[in-house]
Amino acid sequence: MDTRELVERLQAIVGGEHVVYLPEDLIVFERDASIDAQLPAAVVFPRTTSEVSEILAVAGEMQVPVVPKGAGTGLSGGAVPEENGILLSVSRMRDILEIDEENRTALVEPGVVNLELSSEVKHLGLYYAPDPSSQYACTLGGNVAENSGGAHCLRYGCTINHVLGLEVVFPGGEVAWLGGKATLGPGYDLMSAIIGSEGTMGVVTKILVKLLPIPESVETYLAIFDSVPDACEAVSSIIGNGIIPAALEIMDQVVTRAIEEAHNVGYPYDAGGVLIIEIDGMQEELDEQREAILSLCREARAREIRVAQTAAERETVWKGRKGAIGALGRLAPNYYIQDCVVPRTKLPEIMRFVEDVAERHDIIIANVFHAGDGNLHPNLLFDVRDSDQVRRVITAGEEIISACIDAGGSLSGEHGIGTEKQEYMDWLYSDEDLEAMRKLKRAFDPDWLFNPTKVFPTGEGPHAAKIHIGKAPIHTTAAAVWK
Amino acid sequence: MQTETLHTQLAQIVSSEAMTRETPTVDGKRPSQGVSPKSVAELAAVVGELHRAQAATVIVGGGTMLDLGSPPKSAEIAVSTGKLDSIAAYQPADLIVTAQAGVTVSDLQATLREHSQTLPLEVPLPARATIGGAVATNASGPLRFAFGTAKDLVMGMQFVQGDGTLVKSGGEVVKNVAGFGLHKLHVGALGTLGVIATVTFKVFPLPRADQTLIFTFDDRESPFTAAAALRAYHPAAGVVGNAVAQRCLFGEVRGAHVLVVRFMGAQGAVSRQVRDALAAGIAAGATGSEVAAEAESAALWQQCVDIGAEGTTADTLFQANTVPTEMRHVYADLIRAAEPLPGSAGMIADPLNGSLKCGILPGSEQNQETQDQESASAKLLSFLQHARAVSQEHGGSLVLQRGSLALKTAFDVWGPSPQGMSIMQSLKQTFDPHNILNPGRFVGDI
Repeated sequence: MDTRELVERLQAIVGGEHVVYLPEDLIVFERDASIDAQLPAAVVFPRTTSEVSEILAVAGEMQVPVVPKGAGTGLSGGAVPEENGILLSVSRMRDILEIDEENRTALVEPGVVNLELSSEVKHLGLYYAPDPSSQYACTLGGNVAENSGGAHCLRYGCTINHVLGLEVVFPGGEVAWLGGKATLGPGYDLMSAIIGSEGTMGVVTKILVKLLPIPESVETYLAIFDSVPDACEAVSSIIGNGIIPAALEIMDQVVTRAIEEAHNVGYPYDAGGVLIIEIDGMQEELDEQREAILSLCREARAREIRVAQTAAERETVWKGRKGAIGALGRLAPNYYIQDCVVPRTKLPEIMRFVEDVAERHDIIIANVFHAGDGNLHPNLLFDVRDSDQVRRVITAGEEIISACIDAGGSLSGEHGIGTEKQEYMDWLYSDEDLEAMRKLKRAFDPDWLFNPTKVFPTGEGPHAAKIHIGKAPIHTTAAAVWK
Repeated sequence: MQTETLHTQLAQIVSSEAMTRETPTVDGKRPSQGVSPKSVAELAAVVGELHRAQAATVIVGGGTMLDLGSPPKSAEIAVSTGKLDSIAAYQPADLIVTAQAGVTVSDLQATLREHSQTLPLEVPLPARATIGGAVATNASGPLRFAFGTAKDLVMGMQFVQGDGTLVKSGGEVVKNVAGFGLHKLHVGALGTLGVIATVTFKVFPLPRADQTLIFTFDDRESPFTAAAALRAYHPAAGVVGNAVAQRCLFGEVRGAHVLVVRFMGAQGAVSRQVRDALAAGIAAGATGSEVAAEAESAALWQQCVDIGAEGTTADTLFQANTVPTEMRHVYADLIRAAEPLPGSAGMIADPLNGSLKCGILPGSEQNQETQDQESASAKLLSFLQHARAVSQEHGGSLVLQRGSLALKTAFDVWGPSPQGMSIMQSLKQTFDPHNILNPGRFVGDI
């Protein structure tokens, strides 16, 4: 590929100042929030759909790989550039184009930051529900690519449940509108196939999302347990009793201590496991659920239950939770965060297993996770300069993945596969399943140019994953990324 | 391949009682052989054989929605999922259930109900309709305002591709982004990309309270004004119906137009919602209001999705989908436009979701003379063309869900091809290379 020709053609589309191609300038674009890194041939910053369309036409003609990128907060490598490829950043496409109060929708460009949208519509009594922990930084375009979740998915669902329409530029440059305010239009649901496709099927240039009314009442509790499995039992019994709170989040002692040191939010220092319970809705609904939840927690041996009395106290509880991953940067230079899901009834047993894995391999595992959805986030802490630790972390990680799959679970609940988990895809899916997914991608991307090296196993087996982890950067200031 | 050879091959895969000559007719075409596999493996083997024989296949669940779609190009074999009728896995505390495609919606709901749970998916004729069919046709009702459609509820699936390959997509957990959402693509695909074998749904606890309010109105605008006002009280569902529709809903006419609203949730919350909504409905011009009895309420909401379904007196049924706030204009326009029709038109509009179902009854006996019939067909066709134009004007589309073969020949069931059609064609080509699955029945000749 002729880089010079590529750069000139991109410059002709977006203007010289919106293409980055000098090696020293490209370095800052080599990563997302995962552990992989790769320099692209060029980074391009289009402003409009037609510019994106022209860029994709050039990519098709020159057969250059393309990686779309939002804020780069993704944890699985979806926005890491491809070798000799174009990194297409949507950071200049960040307008909220329309708020339709009556239909409760918003039309946004992909570079709009998740939390910005909620702030923008707050005065109308509305908000955008999916709330990944990185919501103050991550873009809605990235959320669509990853089908991002968040703490409140339990009651409200993930990104896919809140998107009504997409403007997409397909590989080659064709622009199409899928979905819209009017739903159930004829044809295959291409929109739902694109959501969560990790940038492998095209570039999303406009997003029509649902807005929800802000609940009239919210209550947040902090239930404190001696152990994580006890907290998990409380979660299972709350849901088993027909109560679906807005959020059920668990943190273990490693995490609560790190958060306390970083943010001083008042989590008890000696608690084995902390469960955040949030219920929202109409006041009468909360009244009906409160006593049941509190007594189920006590039955599961909660030793203390704190009730956040004010909005400020509630925010403090969440500030700790959402800053959890960042706070881990204080404990070790590197962390490997997993994202498996298990059926919720298997949570206590799987968390005992995770404890056992940590002990057997002599590593620290910090757990902070969406317990209500059965979505684990074990963070395996390590120092990449210690090759024996790296080896132990990989083995431990594989044991956890394997146990989750055996328990009827999945490899990823919300972070995506990317490069990080691609070698494990054939642990979950058969060759036929994976081939069907490849066929789906080829229908959109016949030349296999979009995020071409990701999602699917490379065939090199799980040892390739070891190389990924072995390449992890030393980011002692990981917290800075997440603040 | 010779037909008889194919039949022999199929008979080697399934047991003899799984072969039948009694097959349903789809738009005038009747497959010569029916086959009902008893296991997912048998289903895959059967489809593989049909692929080799390049035999045009009709996929049948409960047979309640066979009218949906353009007339098939050809129909040689009917594959029934009726014997795939077991609930494969259900762990109530996980709020997840996996069932084979041929389980009827009623049977699944009955099992869930034993554990005070429900699948909030409204399907016409649930005693016969299967979950596979419900998903393949993307059946839904007014409750989707609160719970979404099948794409929001289906967490995983096994399906048999057009070449007989059995594929799994998604999983049996409530949150999952591992791999692409192939299972979402099969929702509403009318089986043209593969035969659905099992479906995993996310289910919900039954609401502790479930109340329905009925408001009557003299004019056709006010029910929509009321519905917009009532949205502040978080209804789970709402519909507006004309006099003809009311005969289906209640067995009688309560007013020129009714607005029916449903509230679900905690007892105390629903009591307050009902109280506030009653006041707001009257303020918006309702001439009457009542709280429906619990027994009546369930039947009433089922009637809303059954309207115009197979076996009812309506012989033509369409659904228009528009921008929700535009529905008031569509309803008013179509009521006016339906006046010249020889038969009456029952209309149920869903102002919260932006949908309208219209079932058209055949004209009365005195209109049966040939000339009148011709003009009746012309009037029906012109009404449908107008209805489609109005739907498009208000940001949406119209799908003819039931109609005579003559009507389907004159009026494209699906309407103009949606954007992304070339990708849809590629998907069909790649997942069903011999074009055997419901050929010609889907959008754009797929």
